[in-house]
Amino acid sequence: MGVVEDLRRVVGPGFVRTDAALLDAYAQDAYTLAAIRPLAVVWPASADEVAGVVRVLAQHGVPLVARGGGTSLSGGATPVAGGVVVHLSRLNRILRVDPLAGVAEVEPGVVNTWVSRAAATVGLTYRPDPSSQQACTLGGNIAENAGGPHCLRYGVTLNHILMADVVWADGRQSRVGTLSGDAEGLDTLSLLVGSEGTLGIVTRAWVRLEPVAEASATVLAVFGTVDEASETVSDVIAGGIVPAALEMMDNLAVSAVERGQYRVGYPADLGAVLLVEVDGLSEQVEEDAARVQAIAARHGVAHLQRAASAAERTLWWANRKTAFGAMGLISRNYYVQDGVIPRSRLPEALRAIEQVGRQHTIRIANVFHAGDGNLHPLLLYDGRDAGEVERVQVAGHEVLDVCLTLGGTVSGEHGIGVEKRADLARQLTVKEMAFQRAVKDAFDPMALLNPGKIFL
Amino acid sequence: MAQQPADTDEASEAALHALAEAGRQGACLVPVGAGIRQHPLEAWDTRPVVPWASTRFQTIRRWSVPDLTVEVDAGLPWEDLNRRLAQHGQWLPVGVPDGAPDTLGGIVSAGVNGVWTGGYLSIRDRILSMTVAVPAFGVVRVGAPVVKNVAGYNLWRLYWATRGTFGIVLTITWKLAALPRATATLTCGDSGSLTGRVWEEAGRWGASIPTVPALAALLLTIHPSGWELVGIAHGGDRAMDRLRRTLGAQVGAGPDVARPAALSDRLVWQARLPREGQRLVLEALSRWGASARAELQSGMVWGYGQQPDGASQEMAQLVARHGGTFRYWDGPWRGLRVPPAEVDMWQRLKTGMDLQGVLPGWRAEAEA
Ligand SMILES: Cc1cc2nc3c(=O)[nH]c(=O)nc-3n(C[C@H](O)[C@H](O)[C@H](O)COP(=O)(O)OP(=O)(O)OC[C@H]3O[C@@H](n4cnc5c(N)ncnc54)[C@H](O)[C@@H]3O)c2cc1C
Repeated sequence: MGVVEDLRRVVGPGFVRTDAALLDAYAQDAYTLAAIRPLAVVWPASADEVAGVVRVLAQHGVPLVARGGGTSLSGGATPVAGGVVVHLSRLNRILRVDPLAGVAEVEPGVVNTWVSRAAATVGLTYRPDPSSQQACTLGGNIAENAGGPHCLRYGVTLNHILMADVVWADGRQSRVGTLSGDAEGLDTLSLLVGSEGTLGIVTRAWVRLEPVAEASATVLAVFGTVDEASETVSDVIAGGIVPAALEMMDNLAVSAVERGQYRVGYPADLGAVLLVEVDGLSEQVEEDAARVQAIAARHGVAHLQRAASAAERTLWWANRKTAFGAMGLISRNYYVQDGVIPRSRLPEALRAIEQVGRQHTIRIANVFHAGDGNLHPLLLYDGRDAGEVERVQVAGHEVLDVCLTLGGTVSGEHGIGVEKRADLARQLTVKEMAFQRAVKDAFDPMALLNPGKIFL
Repeated sequence: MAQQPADTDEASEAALHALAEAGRQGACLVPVGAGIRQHPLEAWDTRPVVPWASTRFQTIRRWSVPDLTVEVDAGLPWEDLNRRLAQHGQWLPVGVPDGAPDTLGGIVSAGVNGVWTGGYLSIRDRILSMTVAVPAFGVVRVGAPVVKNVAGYNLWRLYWATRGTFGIVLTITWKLAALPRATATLTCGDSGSLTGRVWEEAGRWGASIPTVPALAALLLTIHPSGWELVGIAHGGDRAMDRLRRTLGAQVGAGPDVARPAALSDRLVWQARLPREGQRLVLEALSRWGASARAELQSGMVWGYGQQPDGASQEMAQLVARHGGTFRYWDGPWRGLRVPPAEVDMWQRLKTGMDLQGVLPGWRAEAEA
């Protein structure tokens, strides 16, 4: 019996597809520099079906890639040649929202914003808010340890996942973590979060919900130069203020997003804009907002404005969160980078990245989580020009070299995937790579789960 | 370009030497910090046990004041670090619940959460990176010394509460906080056992401070003659003044919450529970006349002194039933739990890292 027939027996004939047009649609995720047509796509409807699928694939020695929303920017959900895509979109229920415990129990195919919306009905919120939150799923967020603008103060996905059900590479299932948020015994959950689908498949998760603060203030600070904006960021952090969010966009990024659907009306000649949100008790918010404004003033801010209404705040955030997509309005293609530097090195990092762009004649826009030093240079290119594609890839790696030289890391939230395997091998020593590899080999000795990711 | 592990320094060399020597002797190398949460070494393993004394190394390696990060030797006591950090208005919100001089490596290896867990997260969540000595790989860095990082697996989490099972922790890089600009303290208490007033009062304070976290710490202490509830708020002057006006909080330097005056017994266990479970456990402890502390926002509970016969066991079961975790810091080392479906995977990892089994092992337990 062939692998496809065996899979059909597990999930039903309608939920395994092998037609070329559909397979091509699954050949990529949001990392567009790699594409591989899979052997088949399968849609299990329960944890037991996921386990059944994994067992069948293990018997046949066929590798698999779990897929959520397909928004990975590092090629994490790119299929493996000859492998099967396990799409978790039918596991899409929010099973319970417990306002007293502050916990939501969800399936992995649930879209990030659905959780926030369900939490809002009981006056709570789910903090991790990747800009892709309208499309990415909790399963993908867990696998990538996703961040987002509001993770600066409240922590990333790792800090919000309490417990998960997992199917391992041999098809066995177990529950990892505890509802208390602490680890008992060996901490399998912490290894699983951020493992990019290479250690196990999450089939259910319990996530932490939190109350919304009494007050918040959102401040826009427009600067004439990138240096002034980045020095402001460094001083806010050094001043011990922990805003809920501290985001930055430079002139090129703003020029794109201002052509999009959510226009703020930024001046065309700005150097950079900071979007700073502080929250807490109303008095605290006033104090923190005033301190942030004073720091911005010290660095020669050209224009300061506080959101006057919820609608205005929503517009500013929609403008920021659609910035990646808006690159399509000023460039045929764009390549998103993701690296982290110590926050005090922001001014020199941005200068060095500008230099990389100049050297390779690549336009680079910057839209990023400035408060935690998580850079997202957007490298603009034309995919029809092979030379430019090559230059953009070289420039992308050089941007990561800047991060490493300044004592940072090659990924803050988008993961290694297929994209950054060589960069990870440059960041870590040979021995450190061997340690990482030992984890993969221990959890998935037959290399069936998302092989070809993280490691070269 | 690669990260620079502290490969050649004295601590690294000493750790590698100790691992090699233990391997040659067929011994088990167990890291020991200040010895406060230490299980008796002789009961640790069937092999001879050799301690690795981390307190030989106590320096602050790298402190980036503007980044609010610091890298320290594992043998440095937490209070020594905080004394130094205060010079630049920073601190590491640990607050070991009995105020003992634990080393930072010991806090990590024993999985000690402190009194600020509700307000500043578990101390585990402030670890950015470590250097560790692993038999198979030598001295390696896990994590990265920046505040966000997803480059590879979260290996530093292997070292939380695992007592050297996966290697000797040599240095730890922490994410720091700014010292609070102002403090306000709320208190209430009563003699006798725990009554509904505790939960009413805690609820009233929480409702009046609608932010996350409401308080830097919300600490309940119960002892045979009564209970006290202390709420500590951190923030700016105006926010603290509001708490004075609306809740009658005392503004100014608060009590030293890391040193509970009412509890002279030794701290012997730590649990963390979901909210409802924490309440049931605390009520049971109060009925037993036990001494304990709890941080009500984070679900932490700490048990002090000799427990009544069988109480610790019953407590551990109660905690497990309510989805909590339990750690004894008394009696022989009970090992680490691994559910059956994960035993093979963890065994392979352990073997891959420590082929000769120089470091402590664990016991696989049947799932309840
Ligand atoms: C416009 C845009 C903006 C973005 N902004 C952010 C941002 O602000 N912050 C951020 O962190 N990321 C951001 N991203 C990246 C991306 O959205 C995140 O990495 C997200 O977590 C991926 O989720 P997904 O459901 O799309 O997963 P996929 O892309 O489908 O998969 C990602 C990885 O997760 C694995 N996976 C999926 N489901 C499971 C499961 N159930 N069990 C095990 N493994 C699984 C896959 O195998 C793959 O390795 C952005 C992406 C885009 C396109």
